Amino acid sequence: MHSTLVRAQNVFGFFTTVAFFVAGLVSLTSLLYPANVSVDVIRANSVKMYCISSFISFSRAAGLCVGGRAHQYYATKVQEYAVLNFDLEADLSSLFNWNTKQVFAYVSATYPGSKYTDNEVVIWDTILPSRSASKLILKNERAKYSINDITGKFAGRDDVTLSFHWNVQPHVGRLTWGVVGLTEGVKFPEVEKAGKKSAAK
Amino acid sequence: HSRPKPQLRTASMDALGLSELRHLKPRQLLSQVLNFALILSTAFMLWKGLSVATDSPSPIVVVLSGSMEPAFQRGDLLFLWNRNLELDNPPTPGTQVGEIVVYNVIGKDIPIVHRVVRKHQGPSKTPLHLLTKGDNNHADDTELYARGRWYLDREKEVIGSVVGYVPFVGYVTIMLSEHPWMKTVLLGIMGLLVIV
Repeated sequence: MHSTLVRAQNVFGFFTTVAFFVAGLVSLTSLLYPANVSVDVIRANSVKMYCISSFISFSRAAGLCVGGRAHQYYATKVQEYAVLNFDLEADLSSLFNWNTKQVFAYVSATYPGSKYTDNEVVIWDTILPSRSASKLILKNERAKYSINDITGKFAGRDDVTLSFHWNVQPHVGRLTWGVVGLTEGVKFPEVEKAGKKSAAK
Repeated sequence: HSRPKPQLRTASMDALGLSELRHLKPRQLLSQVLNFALILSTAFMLWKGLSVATDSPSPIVVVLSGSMEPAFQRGDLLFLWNRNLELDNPPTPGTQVGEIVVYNVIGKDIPIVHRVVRKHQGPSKTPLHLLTKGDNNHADDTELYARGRWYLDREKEVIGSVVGYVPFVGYVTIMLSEHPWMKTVLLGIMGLLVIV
């Protein structure tokens, strides 16, 4: 009853029980924590459309997609891609509590289409490891990721909106997501011709 | 005034030198085996029940690579939920951009845990196309998908999206799979504990 092995077993069993309860309490209490994320500014500044194609000479001759470069995904179709610039001011510090390991913040662009009616693409993301880094002020920030549509052609589509999301990664427990901040719709312009540097809104 | 317990004693067993076995009580041994089998089948039923509740073939996974750091480290345990397909596009939206999904590429065996960065969905009943990327990776997952495919099919390749997280606990399974001799050691110890 009091051998070393039995004692070790008892200690280990007690440890796992306590660890289980502490983890449960930590995760449950953090779920009730009130979070108030404020987004002061979110705005799309400029959208530029470019075009890439692996058959550059062919497409130039055919009048499509001038100013392209080799296709980034080795496919043979002509692919348009858009680069956005945006402003963002947000304060995510209220999301940080005892159970927050990191906050993953991202800006996504949502736009419609005919074959695919619902499209959403993340254009920018960042990892906020602590409360001190959680105030975001971005002015005319270039999108990290360009948008290319599954169909390859999406110039001229209207009602493109930007939204700001966050994802709280806990130390233990349930992951939570939130979204705030929807801009007014902007439009994907036509493809830029090479040599003409015009910013379309 | 209890009756003496009957001892199993035969001449043949004494001759074979297995006289110690007379202290073995077959009923007790059988009930121990039954207990063990009950524990195993309860664990199996719990696992399969969870699999049915979450509609996922593998409702709890262990993180194997560091491609989602600093969020997930190797050995962390993830709880999956697979009931958010929502292929009837409105009214309830299905898997959203920014969710973390676990998927098996068709033809490959290793489950990959990455975040959804793109979503394209047609009208209802059409496949939901997702593009994923690990937080710690520079490029998205296009290179990992099957040849000729640029997007994941939510219904066919994704086995669930992550809703819960427990750190460290899964490291035992990683150690067991990378050092198979530990499995035999563990089974040996468990066997000894049952017999002794």
